[in-house]
Amino acid sequence: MTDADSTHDAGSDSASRDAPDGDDSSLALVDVTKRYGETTALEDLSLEFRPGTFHGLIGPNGSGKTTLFALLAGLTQPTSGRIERADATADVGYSFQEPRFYPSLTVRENLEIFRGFVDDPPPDAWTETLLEELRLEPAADRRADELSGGFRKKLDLGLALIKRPQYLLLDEPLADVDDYSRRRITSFLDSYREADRTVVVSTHNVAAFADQLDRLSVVVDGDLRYDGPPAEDVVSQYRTLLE
Amino acid sequence: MDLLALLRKESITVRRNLGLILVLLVLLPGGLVAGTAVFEQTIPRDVPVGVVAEEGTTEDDIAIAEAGMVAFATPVEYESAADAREGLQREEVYLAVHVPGDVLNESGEANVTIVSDRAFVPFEEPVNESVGVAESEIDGLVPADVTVDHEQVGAERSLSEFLVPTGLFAFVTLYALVFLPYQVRSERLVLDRLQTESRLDTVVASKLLFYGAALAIPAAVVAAMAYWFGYDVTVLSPLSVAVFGLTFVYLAAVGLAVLFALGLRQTALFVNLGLALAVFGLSSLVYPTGFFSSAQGTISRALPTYYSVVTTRSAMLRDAPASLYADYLWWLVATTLASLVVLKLALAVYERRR
Repeated sequence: MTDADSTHDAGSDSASRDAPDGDDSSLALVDVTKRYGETTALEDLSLEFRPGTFHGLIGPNGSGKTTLFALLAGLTQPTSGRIERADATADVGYSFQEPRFYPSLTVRENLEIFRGFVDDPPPDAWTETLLEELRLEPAADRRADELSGGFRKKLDLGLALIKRPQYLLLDEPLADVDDYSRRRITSFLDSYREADRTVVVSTHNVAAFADQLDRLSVVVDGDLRYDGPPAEDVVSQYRTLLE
Repeated sequence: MDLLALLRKESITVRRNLGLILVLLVLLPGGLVAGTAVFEQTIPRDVPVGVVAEEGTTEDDIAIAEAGMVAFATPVEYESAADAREGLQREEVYLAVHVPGDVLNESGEANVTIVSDRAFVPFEEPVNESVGVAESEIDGLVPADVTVDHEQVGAERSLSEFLVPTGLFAFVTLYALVFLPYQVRSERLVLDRLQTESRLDTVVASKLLFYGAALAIPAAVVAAMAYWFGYDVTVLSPLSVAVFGLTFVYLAAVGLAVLFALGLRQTALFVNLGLALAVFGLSSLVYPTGFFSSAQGTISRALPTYYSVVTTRSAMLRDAPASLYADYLWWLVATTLASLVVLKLALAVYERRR
């Protein structure tokens, strides 16, 4: 664990222990602590996710990244502190570390069902775009429980994107995905944030998104160790922060 | 060595799943043996039997007649033959004994009439046995020369016809208490995603609605099969549909409450299986309540499933108005509401644990 000062020492330009100074459409955690029994997953953490940014949430395994995403997605409530969403209508799409879909439905059926949850869904063409951009087309009519690991991960990504959310939370989105698909997906996500949308990627593999990151937050053992712009050599920056 | 390694793995798995092992290897077999305690006898001794005083019958006559029945029955007094008939149709009692006023007349002949309902087919043989027992018991207690007539009411039914509502109830129990929780658990991974798009309450409500509506299919199949076999059984009536609907909802709500309260663990499926076995054993599906012991009678009358069984059987086999079962239906409605509250609490517990 690091103390609060280390956040500023590391060059943060906005993060602090106080409420983030977010703008009108940001998503933020304010003084959030999350405990599971005796275990503290996150400790008094404040963090803001701004529109139009590609935000890297980096940290080693078990550092609290998935818990932080679960809080942002509303799957769990903080033990103390609060989640602030300036625009209550702005929705959140979540791609889970372990894919979550209806196993007995095909890829296309899964996408159609989850598209049906949206009051004002994107046009049908959006589904086709996702199938193409995520390289899901070859498996579109296959049952989800018969897919390989890479396709499962891409389907989960597609489900997070199907409602074209304002905030896109991606937990290790490229795990098991082949190199060609990785490049396609990374490029697609890069363009996704251009419409003032926010892409938050949680990973322990910072190199995979080094070229896309606008902002970097490093969480270690439930504590925010750095929040600010990524250095040119983000991999080296991350290693330094871990030491 | 392979075998040793694999056995070691199994022992570790057992240690990691102690809840499941406890339910599967301790509670279920223990429960089965404990359940046998309420099946004490095969000759009826505690079956509720209605007693009706005919004209001129005194309290002494009734008391003596009841004394003659205690060997095989628990007497329940009725004001009139019509009330006793309704009691038979509601399965409050399984026989009605009409006591004449001249049982204490030493030189007279007394004719006792025992009325039974043809709809309760498996009880026909025990009834015939009981008539003989009643005749000898009462005759030995009173000065008069007692003869017993056996009168049967309702349409003649076969055992096959009797088993149709019983089988349908058993199906609904398995469907609601075992299959539906299993189905929900099979989609446990997607529940997280669903909770980012909807509410858990809504997800569960959709399951209850869809699988409740799907019950129309087996009901129609049973109706068609019964028609095919030429059974005189009214499978689809407003009363039977209402009872099946309520029974499905309260059993499914209990099954899902167990599932969510136990965090969607496999253990919940075996707990629900145990509950289904308890329902089958204690709800007087085939034999009258109290037939096997007074404890079994007391337990079954405390269970909503008993009232589901009786009302279903009556809707399908008896020519009785639905209003006769109004209080049973209200009890089922209350049970349904209470089980939905329990389900809501279980969902809250599940969400709070996250």
